[in-house]
Amino acid sequence: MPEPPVRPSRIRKWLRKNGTGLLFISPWLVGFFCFTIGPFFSSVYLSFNSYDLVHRPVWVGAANYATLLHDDPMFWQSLWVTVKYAVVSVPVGIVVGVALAILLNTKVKGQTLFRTIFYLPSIVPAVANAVVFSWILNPEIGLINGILRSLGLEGPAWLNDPKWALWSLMLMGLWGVGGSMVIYLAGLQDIPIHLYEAATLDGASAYQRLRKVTLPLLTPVIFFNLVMGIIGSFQYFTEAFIMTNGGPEGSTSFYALYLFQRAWQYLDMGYACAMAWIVFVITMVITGIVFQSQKRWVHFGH
Amino acid sequence: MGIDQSPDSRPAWAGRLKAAGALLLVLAVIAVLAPPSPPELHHPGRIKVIFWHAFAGEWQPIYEGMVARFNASQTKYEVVPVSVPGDALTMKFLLSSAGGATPDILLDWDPILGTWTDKGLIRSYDSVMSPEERRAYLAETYPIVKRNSMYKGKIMAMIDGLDFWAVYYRLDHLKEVGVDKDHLPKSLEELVELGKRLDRYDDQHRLRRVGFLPQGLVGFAPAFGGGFNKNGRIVVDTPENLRAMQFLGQIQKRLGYDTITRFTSSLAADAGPNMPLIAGNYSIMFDGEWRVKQVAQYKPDLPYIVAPLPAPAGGKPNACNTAPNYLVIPTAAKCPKGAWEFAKYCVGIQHPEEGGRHMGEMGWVPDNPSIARSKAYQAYLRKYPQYKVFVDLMTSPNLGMFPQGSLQKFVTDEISKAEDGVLRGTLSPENALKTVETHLDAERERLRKLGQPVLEGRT
Amino acid sequence: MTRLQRVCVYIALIFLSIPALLPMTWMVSTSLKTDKQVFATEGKAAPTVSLRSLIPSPLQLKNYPDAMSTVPFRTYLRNTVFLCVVNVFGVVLSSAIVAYGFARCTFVGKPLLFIAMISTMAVPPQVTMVPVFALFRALGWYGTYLPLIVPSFFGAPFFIFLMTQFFRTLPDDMAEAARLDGSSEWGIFLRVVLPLSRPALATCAIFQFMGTWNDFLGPLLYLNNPNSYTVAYGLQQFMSKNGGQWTMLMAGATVFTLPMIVLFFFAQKTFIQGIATTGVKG
Repeated sequence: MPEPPVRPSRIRKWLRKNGTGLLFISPWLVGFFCFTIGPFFSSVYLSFNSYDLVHRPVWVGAANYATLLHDDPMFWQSLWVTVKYAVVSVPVGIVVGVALAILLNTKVKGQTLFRTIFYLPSIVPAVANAVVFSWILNPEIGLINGILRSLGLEGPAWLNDPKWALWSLMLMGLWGVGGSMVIYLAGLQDIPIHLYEAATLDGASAYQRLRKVTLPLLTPVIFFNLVMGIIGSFQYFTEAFIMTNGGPEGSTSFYALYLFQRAWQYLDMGYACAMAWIVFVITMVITGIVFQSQKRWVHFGH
Repeated sequence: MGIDQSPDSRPAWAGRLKAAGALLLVLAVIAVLAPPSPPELHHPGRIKVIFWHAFAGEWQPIYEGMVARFNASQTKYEVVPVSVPGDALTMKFLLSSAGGATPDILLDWDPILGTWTDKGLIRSYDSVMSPEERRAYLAETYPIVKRNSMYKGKIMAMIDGLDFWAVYYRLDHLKEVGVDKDHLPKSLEELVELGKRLDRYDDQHRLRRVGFLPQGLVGFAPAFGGGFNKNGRIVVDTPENLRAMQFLGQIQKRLGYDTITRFTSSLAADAGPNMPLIAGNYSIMFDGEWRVKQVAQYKPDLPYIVAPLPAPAGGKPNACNTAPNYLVIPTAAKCPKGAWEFAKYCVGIQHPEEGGRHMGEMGWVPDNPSIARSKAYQAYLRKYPQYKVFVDLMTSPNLGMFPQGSLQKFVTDEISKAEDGVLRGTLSPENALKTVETHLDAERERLRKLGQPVLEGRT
Repeated sequence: MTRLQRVCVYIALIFLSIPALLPMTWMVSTSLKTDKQVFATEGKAAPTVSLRSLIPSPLQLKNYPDAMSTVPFRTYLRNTVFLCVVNVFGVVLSSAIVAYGFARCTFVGKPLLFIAMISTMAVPPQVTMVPVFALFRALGWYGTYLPLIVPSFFGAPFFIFLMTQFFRTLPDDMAEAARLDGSSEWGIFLRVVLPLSRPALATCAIFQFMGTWNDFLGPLLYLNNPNSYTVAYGLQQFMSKNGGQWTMLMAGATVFTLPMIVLFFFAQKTFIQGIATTGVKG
């Protein structure tokens, strides 16, 4: 059946339905089309090329992808290291972040001071933080081994020991939890007091209020931090770059580190683009699953 | 209108006024803070030569002082120095090349010459030198400087500072075992034996001082007759390199990797008034020429002596690796002639007195004998007599170089991974070198499959 | 809260403060020491790190003037504050507007666009650097502040996502009442949603401020004039040549960090003024 001609009123109707929303998101839309989408497509294109940053890219089809999947043990190793890191650090980070935020949201004297204290580690610049932790984890004079020694134990060489290096970085990551803690804190401010009052009137205990009111209303921010944590772990770079540079024995060869090495040190940008898009697909599949699941556990106020 | 439920709701215009006020405030702050673009040029009307380097901290004023002297010395060009943090210089340059906005000249100390030449990132000095200048450069420059500046028969870099290594002995430690400066070890084996006698443990059997701890395959290979460039190809698994690797592995095994890690991790990093040589963490160190000046700065009365690395049995005397600072001219440089004028001044070509002053100020060895003979440099040597050991090394036939070629960064990384494995005892020296070769071959094969030409080595 | 609970909370807070304070305390304490007080010397072990070793004696204040004199700190500071103010203003405003669209409006293709926005964060930035650089250069922005400023006025996905989550939790009835009063969506955004979202806005402002303050790569890649560099760039410069002198580096890092601590201490007051104190009943 032929479509009826578009009448002005239909456009007006469409605009009334969609116009306001599109107008609101237009800053991002404009930026997306001006600054983002071009570079994205060009890096997709480059992933099918051999490109050394200098010469014209040469089309090689799926060769970069084929080599990565079939002939590059470092690719699999770095992916494995990254997945291990994500599986441990994302959930632990969420639990610790939420717990700290709830603790800091209780009405106690010095609340402002405590909040600042717990946020401090996130403010320390990465270069200084690296130095601090190379001391805390120093096998000879470090704080942790010093404490262990006073208990009669000799600690491992931490960052220098292939068995412990990744765990050391995960441990370090805990000090960076302040960022997500602040987000949870902001989320806690948005929970209306009357919900607690109602729960208290119903005779709910502190634990029940936490389970029935606080946590459900915090789920949108937990969801946010979960998604950002997943994306963040696949791009985890700075600390590993400064502190271990992938060693010892490849135990901290994170994916982003290997990608950086390929792109900027071995001048193999085509290969690096292929790596980037593989990890993009992985991240988006996981994120997609998380998004699907949100109907089941993420609670919005309305 | 609007939020009548809210107890503190105010008329809408109040909110609007507040928003406008906030906006005005922000704009005012921006206006006050907006950085006026300060004049970069001191000599408008001259041709600008943009120069990126990585000298910061105390070195920046010294180095840029030399740049200022260049600007004052002539009337055609103005060199504008930009200090870029060392780790990031390479990346900034690559990006600017890919985007087509390079500086006119830059100084980088990573092993990049082969890669950058093969990729066409930098241009040859042959294109900016006059035939006379080229002839003079080839005739007058020290051979090792020339070798480091050339790649595949072309002059690709000027060498502004070339690092050499020699042995630093702490005389006060040697005295403890009855050795003085006239009876230094004559062979590497003797040196190792002496080192053993100088190890010290505390009452808890923790290592407190190490006599001699050799590390770094690239640094020690030349003494065993080894090297990484042969017939225009990168080579790693050679009998000589294997001997060097075995030597490093044995010493590590004697002290124990874990013990050494714990010991080294408690040392100050390698610059500053408490660097290991001054702190006495080691009695004997194989280290670079810059230490002479550092010791003079931080502890002038330190009892020490420098001597070339003695040869191992069947090896080579006066051997070490050399590590250059490259002054290179990007292919897309807008003013390559000006870059060359500046480079000449920098390394003292046609300006031996200026070169002597610059090399002395930076604590570097001179590029050619006429700089070495200059009054300024001779004065420097009188001030730091031990430095002469390094100037003498210039003419040694047994000097090594980093692997050269497109894959130099790849192979350098692979070599350090292999050495790490050997030192940890998880890889035998034989397997370690074989692994590097295997990985190198796989990488060559991969690039070939992708149609990228694998160019390497010098002919 | 019962008395017992209150005591427990205090104990937990104080106990956890120790590790939280550690990095900063260490940074400051090291900045007040000499190298000798930190590392192993002449046959002696380095002082094993203990909480007591955090107190430097004697105090070495000299590291501060030494560190400050190695970089033109005042120029860098002015440049950084300028970038921070502009970026915070641009990003918070634009991201809030976009987030309102995603959270509160309906339009065609919304779920898809939302996922597209999230997905832009999942591309490792190392591989888009070259085309982005080429783009800015083609626009003639290379060597100016524009690449470091303009993009923030088009909303940042991280903040848009975050604020969307917040806006969606706000109770509907107030917006509904405003709508019945004839307020436009823009009016609702400005007068209902924004005032209620102060904690979220403050969070975004702080994050963006810190992001700009710490950003080293942006200035590195796009600026070529030594007089337009920022403090993060200066810290990195300082680090690359004085890498060995941790005591000086820590002095530099302390100076670098101080403004952010002060900012956070005051800004986080805003967190307390959430719905809880504006007296709004949903």
